[in-house]
Amino acid sequence: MRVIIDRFEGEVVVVELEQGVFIQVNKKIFPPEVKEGDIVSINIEKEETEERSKHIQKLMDDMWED
Amino acid sequence: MTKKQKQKLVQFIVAIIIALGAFIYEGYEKLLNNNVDIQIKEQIDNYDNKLQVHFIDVGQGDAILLVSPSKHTMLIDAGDNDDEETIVNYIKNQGIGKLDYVVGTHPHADHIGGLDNVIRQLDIGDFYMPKIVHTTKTFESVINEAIKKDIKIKTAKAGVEILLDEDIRVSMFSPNESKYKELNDYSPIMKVTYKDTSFLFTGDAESEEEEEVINAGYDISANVLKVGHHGSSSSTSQEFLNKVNPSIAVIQVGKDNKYNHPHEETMKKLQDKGIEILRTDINGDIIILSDGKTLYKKVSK
Repeated sequence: MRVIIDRFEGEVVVVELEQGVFIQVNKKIFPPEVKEGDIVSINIEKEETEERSKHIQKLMDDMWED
Repeated sequence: MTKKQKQKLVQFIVAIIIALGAFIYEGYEKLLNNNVDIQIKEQIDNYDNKLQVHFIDVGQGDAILLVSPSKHTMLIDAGDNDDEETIVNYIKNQGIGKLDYVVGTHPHADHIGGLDNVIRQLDIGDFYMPKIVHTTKTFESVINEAIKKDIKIKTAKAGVEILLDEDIRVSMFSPNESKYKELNDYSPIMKVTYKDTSFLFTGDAESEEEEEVINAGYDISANVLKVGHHGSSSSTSQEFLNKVNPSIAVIQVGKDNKYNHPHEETMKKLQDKGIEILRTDINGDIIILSDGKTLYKKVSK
């Protein structure tokens, strides 16, 4: 998914999702060097999600009473 | 003369000198600001022979319609994408089918979002925008509509002069040729003068651009100021406000917006100078008329 940075309003970033559809998000979610007009891609890291899920699962092992 | 009488006489003379000084200083201030004291009336009897300035309530965003006594028209910005019907309907309800001049102050969606629809649905004369690129689909759509209607775009920049009527002058004081860090600073700061009355429009110009216009030596004094960037603290520097020295400040702003516009610092600056504040989030559509001497105002809420 790709989004476009329309503008900054203080700490709020106005992001264009598609023609005429905008959301407001906190600036902290973007790399600090982000600028107005930048196109930002949002990807799901499937492998990393899987790995992390396994890691937490391992931590959980033997932690439940039942 | 007793010592006490002498003392009183000295006190009296000092008081006169102070009063005279204050009087001269006040006159000097007025001379500096070049502003005639303007009468403001609540009542609008009719629109005949008056310059109409409509600050259309589009929530968070700018949209200003000017109609001259000879019915020449100018639209400055067209609100956000979801305001496009509001704006076109408002313009049509005034009996207007053609906009002689359209100014898109800068490519942010809350200013040019509704422009594609305006271009699609109305006849457009001269179309002005600063020559700066933006990557959004919203901006692309504006350019595409202009291409479809075979309208070329003129650069909004310092030095542009437009006569809306013979005696209504629109002067752009910015942007100059420089590259600005903020898209906001590409907004033309423009003054509309009709006889003794004047309006200053600022788009989202921030303090950097305000300073540039002051340093360029333009006479930015005006009776009505469209407060820059929806009352954000990044605009309306004290020096700028002092030089404009308006009687009325208009803020185009949405109710409960997420950016806390207008900012408290800006409100305080306006209040400290005793300027009458009109806001679209409180007053709805704001109409100010000028017959060249007197201003008349009307709000929808």
